Amino acid sequence: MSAVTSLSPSATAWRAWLTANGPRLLLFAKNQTRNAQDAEDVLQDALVKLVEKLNDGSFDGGQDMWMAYLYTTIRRQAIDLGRKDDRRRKREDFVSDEIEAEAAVKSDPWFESDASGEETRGQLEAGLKELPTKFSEVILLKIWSDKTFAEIGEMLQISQNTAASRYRYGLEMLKRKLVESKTKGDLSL
Amino acid sequence: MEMNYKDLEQLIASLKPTGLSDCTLSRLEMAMCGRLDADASHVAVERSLHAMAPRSLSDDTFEKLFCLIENVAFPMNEKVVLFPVAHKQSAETQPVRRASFAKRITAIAAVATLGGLAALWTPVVGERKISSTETGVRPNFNQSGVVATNYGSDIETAADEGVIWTEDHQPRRVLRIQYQDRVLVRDQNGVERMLFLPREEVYVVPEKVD
Repeated sequence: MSAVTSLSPSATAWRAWLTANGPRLLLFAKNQTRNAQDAEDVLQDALVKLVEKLNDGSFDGGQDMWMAYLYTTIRRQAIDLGRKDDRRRKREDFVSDEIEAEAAVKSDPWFESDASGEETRGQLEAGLKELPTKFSEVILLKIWSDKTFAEIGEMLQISQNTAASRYRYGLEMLKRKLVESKTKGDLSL
Repeated sequence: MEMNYKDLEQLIASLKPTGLSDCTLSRLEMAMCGRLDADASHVAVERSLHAMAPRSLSDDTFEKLFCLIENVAFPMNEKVVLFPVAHKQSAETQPVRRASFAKRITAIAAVATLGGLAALWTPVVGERKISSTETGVRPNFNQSGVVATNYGSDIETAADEGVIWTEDHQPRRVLRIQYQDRVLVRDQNGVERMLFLPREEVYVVPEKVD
């Protein structure tokens, strides 16, 4: 209890909040940036922006709106970062950068390992990483952030039906991947 | 040239768009009926995904992010905001009026400790989730294997104790707020206990007096 009681009430509350929400925010950031370091950077930037808004009183809404704001900001920052990287790649023409980045995405774990379902987890994680971002981001927001399709649509600026369709299509692709793995014998289901 | 265009036009006009696949048809039908949300054909995949937990933040990342926010006021809701005011600061300002304040703080801390220890051995019955905060587990919270899974705080009393004068003859208004902090902890065996920690904060704010 010493860690809790030695902090101010707000710091204690922030610690609990970050413990609960940090992992899903970082997961979303990794999905958007496809790079662990960039993911931490965009998450940090998004948090700084939230703090600035809270400090100057310009944040519109209560605590329940923080996550939506952070997801939107992370996505925006990741898009900006991607554009900068694209420009840099065009300038420098580093094909090896891309190969390295792809390898890094594959090796960076997105989920806690679970010995009981390790094979399936591995296949699903690999499947999520291979999915185009427009599908995987909807799955992430739906499964690990419990957002409704209406909320997801608002965050990603797409219609509710498009969000639902992308979710369904993404799951279909994951399901296909699992079935393929099972057929090939990669999965002992 | 004109003939060529016409030929090309006719050729293009003779092309027939491919029909909708069964998958697309079913998707459109479901969208029109508003049933896209209720698709049950992927339940197994969804269940597998739900069973996967996003990886926790590394200690370094956690501390780096926590440093950004630890000194920011935390709005619990529209009316209650937790400020990053250390107990020490309020204790420093209070002796202006009450010389025995340090003793009172000690007594409050003692009661809080006793309350916490007593609650530690009282299993929680019924509703466990504290509505004002979200839940979360941070592994290895301390070495004893006890992890805090939820946190909440309520204001018990808030009192305006009037205006006092400091040694340099400045008017200050004293506000005394009593909180009841609640922390839900889980031990290595999965047994959950609720700790109740009474807490008191005194705010001394500048006051305008004619």
